[in-house]
Amino acid sequence: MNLPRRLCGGRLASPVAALAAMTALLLLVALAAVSWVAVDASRSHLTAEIAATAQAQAASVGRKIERALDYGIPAEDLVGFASVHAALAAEDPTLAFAAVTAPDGRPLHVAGGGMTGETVAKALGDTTGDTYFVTRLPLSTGGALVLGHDLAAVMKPIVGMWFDIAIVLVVALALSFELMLLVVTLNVILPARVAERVLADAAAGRFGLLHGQVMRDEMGRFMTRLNGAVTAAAKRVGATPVPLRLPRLVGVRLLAFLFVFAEELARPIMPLFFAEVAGDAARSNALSAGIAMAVPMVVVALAMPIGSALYQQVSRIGLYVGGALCATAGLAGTALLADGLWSLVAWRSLSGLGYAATFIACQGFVIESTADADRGRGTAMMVSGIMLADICGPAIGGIIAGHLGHAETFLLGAAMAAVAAVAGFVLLDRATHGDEAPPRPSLGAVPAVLGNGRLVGLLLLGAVPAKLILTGFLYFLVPMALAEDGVGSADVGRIIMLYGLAAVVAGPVLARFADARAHRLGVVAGAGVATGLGLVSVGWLPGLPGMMVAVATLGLAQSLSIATQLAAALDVSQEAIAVHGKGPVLALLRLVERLGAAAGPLVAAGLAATFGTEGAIWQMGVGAAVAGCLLLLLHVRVRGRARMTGRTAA
Amino acid sequence: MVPGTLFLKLAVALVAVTVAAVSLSAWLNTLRFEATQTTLVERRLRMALDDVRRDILVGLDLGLKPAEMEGLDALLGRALAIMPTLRSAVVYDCAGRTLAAAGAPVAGQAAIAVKGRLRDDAWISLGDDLAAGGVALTDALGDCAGSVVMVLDDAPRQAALAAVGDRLWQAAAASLLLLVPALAVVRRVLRRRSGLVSHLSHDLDGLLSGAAPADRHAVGLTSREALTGGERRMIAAYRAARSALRGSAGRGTP
Repeated sequence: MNLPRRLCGGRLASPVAALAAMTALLLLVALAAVSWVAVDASRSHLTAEIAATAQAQAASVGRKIERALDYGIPAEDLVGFASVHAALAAEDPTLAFAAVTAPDGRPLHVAGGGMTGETVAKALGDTTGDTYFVTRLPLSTGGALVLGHDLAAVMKPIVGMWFDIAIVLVVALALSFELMLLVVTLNVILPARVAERVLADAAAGRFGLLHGQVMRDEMGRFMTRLNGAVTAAAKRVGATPVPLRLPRLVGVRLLAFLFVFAEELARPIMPLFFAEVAGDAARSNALSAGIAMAVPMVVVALAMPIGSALYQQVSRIGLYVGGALCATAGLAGTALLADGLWSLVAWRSLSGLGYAATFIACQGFVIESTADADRGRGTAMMVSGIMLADICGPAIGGIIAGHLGHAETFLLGAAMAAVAAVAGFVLLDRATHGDEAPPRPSLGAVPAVLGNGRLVGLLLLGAVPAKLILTGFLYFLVPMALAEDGVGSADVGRIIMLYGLAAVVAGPVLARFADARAHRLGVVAGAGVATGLGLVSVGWLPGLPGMMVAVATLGLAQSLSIATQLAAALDVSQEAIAVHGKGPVLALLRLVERLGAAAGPLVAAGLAATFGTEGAIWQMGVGAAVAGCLLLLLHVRVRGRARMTGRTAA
Repeated sequence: MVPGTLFLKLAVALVAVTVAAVSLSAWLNTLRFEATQTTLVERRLRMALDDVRRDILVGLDLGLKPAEMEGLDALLGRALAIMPTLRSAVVYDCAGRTLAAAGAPVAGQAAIAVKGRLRDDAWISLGDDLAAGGVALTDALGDCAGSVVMVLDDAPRQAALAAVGDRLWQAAAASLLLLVPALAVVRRVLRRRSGLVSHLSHDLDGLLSGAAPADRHAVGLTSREALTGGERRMIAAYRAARSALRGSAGRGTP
């Protein structure tokens, strides 16, 4: 009897599903074991560290109290206890209260914001330690000095570590699953699909196809025999069989993941590192960092259409591998050789060039390997690789940066880009499957696009603000603002990761919601307003909670609006598409979006220089909400006109 | 190259992926533990430095210079007594000369590294060559009055880090034992598939030699052993193609 089926109660449809479940279980248990040890170790070692600090603090205060007691001052007559506590609390914000108790436990002196004798007595009786980390130091009077630290605050570094342990588990699981899926697809699923087509062709008596993806295993040996049989049969019927190879589209997910991951590793520390390297007396560090982020994005925006134009001249492998090597050099140069703003911009621009080339290579591979009917699936595969990198990269990069340092994180990114180059050789098919090239903008389409008021409105009030806020807020202001608050890079990475996580988790549901809505402009406008509200919440919820709300809201809003924007843009561009084709119009839209993205860090840096980082976030939030409202007004106006003329509005 | 089997490929992939995943997890968790431990040790060292600085500030606010203060050695000694992991505590003047000290003398590479940081307002360094921190002293006018430096006995911290690192890597290695039952299950599933493939190959050979009947139902294949839906469809396509393939001249291997 089939063991996996028996183990799983026969519920699994096929052995491969049982194998997948078992692989997932194996990895989950293995990773959980390592994670559990990490949690346990942190609890024992690090809690002891916290206790030692609190003990030392108590000993220091206790020494002063004992000196007073030695002078004959009764414990209940001690003065200045509040100022001793205030001095301690000024240096240690986690200190909630301090108290001196009598031998019977009655508080004699209490200091701490809002703490009364009653609340201290309650805290002293809090044996479970749910609210306070209580440290008692016996005094010579028989009473005690009691220090109460806010438990949540002292445990914050440890709790942060537990979150990161969970994230590492999830990331490792996701990456492992992706790799196993790749191996099974390349070795089992794809060869079977090819064999099915060859056999169907043989069954029809044509004998025009041979199996062109024979693997070196037992099934491959069968397929080699099959090829022999087909060749012989083809001779009989006078056919010339050709090897059939199906595109290995599953590889595009890993390829897209690798080149984005290489960049995203340094995301949590990027503006900080750029400010360190590029800042000087003549220019604020923030502005220098903004320039260092913006210029390469302009390079990416301009390089994409050029890459699309070159796609059919340069092989896709050449474009991907060349791009990955450029990214490797760019990231390594950023880490090791950049020593001022313009050298930094040069190395970053090289990275940007590499990013553009690899993106175009992957996009071209998807377009060539799919027809209109399944292009969405192919594109989704590439996008899912990018989203996975958006989640994993900052999370892992933040942890690594906190330990190895900023430059070293860029070096690790360079190593990943080199791995991407090797993967490109292995995973990208050499064969050309179609002759459709990646879309590129055409100058002829420009007047058609710029003359379309609805499209311009959508671009200026929807698409450009969305990209501007993504790069200006998420990539620039979030790391800067959190660093100002003393938040470590691991926490920054975790927060940036929320953007991708929100999009991945809620994206499909929100996309279905958006598809069901006829009024796409309204959906885009609503998403813009939601983004704005999320950003301004930073002013109401200070610190990490506010930032988490803002980033998660941005992820949700953008997962709702991005696909809808595209559909809305196509809807309102029918005339231009009829003349110039969908490709050039779409490529032009993307170019404008990317230029908007390039403006983000500069706008953010300028606002931060004037209003501070929190003020800049607030301003961007207001801007997003205003743009959304204006787009909504435009939508209402367009709908009104459409009703009058009997046309359907987007 | 020796022809492989699917089991070998999947086994190698599973082992490689599992080793990579648990290694990544162990490594990242070690880094994260070290970062968190460093944060807490820094917090403790900062507390000790601030404590001593506060006491010295009392004298500075009265207009005394550190060189004129009595009992600095005892003050530093008390700081060491409160925090056993401190190895030494030193008060320097603005020129880097020692005014008071307690504990083991700061010498060698550590002394050079410390002297290089005396101008910093507040610093902590927990590296291989130095585990110490310092804070600048300023008088009532804001001018330099010296600095306080405390050197840690970093051995307990390093020992704790090594112990945790060892535990994590041991857990990672132990978790790899799970590969044994996992690979046994994979082998069991693929053995049945291997039987299916063998059957397909024999059938094809028989078909080509004319020994096997062309009837699609005569093949005796069951697609239950197929790994995926795609392989089941492939078997169905093979059944449909048998009569067309039967009697082709030449056998399998080109």
